[in-house]
Amino acid sequence: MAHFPQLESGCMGQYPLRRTLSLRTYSSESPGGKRRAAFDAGGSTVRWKLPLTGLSESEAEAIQGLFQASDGRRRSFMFVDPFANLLGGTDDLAGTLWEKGPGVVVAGGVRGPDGQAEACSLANTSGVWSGVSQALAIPEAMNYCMSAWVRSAGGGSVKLSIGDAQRVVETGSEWRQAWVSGVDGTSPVQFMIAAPAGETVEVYGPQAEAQIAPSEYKRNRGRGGWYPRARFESNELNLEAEAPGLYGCEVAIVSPWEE
Amino acid sequence: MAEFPRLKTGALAQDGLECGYRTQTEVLRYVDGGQQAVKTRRGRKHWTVKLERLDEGELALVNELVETVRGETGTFAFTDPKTGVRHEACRIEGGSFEAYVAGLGDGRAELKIVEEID
Repeated sequence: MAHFPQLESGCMGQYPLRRTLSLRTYSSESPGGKRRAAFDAGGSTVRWKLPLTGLSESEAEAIQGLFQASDGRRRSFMFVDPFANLLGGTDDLAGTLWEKGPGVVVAGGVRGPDGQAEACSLANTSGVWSGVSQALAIPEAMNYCMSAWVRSAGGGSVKLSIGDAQRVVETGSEWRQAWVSGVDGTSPVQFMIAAPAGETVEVYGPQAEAQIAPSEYKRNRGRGGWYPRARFESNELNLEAEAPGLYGCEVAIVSPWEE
Repeated sequence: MAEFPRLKTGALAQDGLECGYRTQTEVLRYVDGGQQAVKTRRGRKHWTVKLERLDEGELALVNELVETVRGETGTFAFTDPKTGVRHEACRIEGGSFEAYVAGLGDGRAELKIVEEID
């Protein structure tokens, strides 16, 4: 599937970024002030404005190539939201969005580093590494970063993986942020947090992003922030030559809101 | 029940908060010059919450609230930052939420909130 290209820096956008969520509601109000409202998911959209500067020849060509292949506004493509956590249900590892490995028992209600009971404990009763995962239908060739805050009472380790890219991190009794960055190369892209055989780890704030290093944790109780039906909002894309070999442009993208 | 999120500082809002009270009264004028004022709707409080210097996590919490209540459709609890009074049913006016990130830790957003009265 066509997708908006990742920049060579490993990011999906540059500052400043603008994202507008427009959720449509049909409502009526009686003379007495009583209001009735119904949500229109189909009429709701998300828009991004991405001013891009200092693009290399290949970055500019990739964006221009997608624009031409999409025929401007005509065809849709996958857009990975630079604002969002790509994982869903991030405060509920026991939820249905997460696939549990063999022998894994997940319990919620654990206090995270912010003092809120939004962390989970992940007990692996099997004889091999096992954990929870989400497989996302996002572009496999892009670089992703997966992060989570982890700890374990008696010390131990935890493994974060993005497909074959994995990292084992030592854990202690204090919360620490663990992360791994890499390219999976296979579709769907699988993000996993695993504990060693017979060990229990506490996990808070799992997050996946299309970039090389983790940003601030963004809790996401809904679906992940990737949009397979995005389009360019304009039929014209103008590249500006800023310096030899460097280009700039402003890209506006719109997508139906995904529930 | 959804609730407007607190910032990491513990605050509910920042300087620039606007709050007011909106009524709807019609004044009927008669041919003899007399007039009668009729209240056609109960008054309600409204706020404009302007947020600056938010990190991406804080912006995500506000965005999550807007998605949870489906824009203008649903209601949430909002504590008036000025009086401390908790209003159990409020809704977002306009149904849109624009997040602007000028740089690292420099997210900006604005929400219009109105009290919902049955």
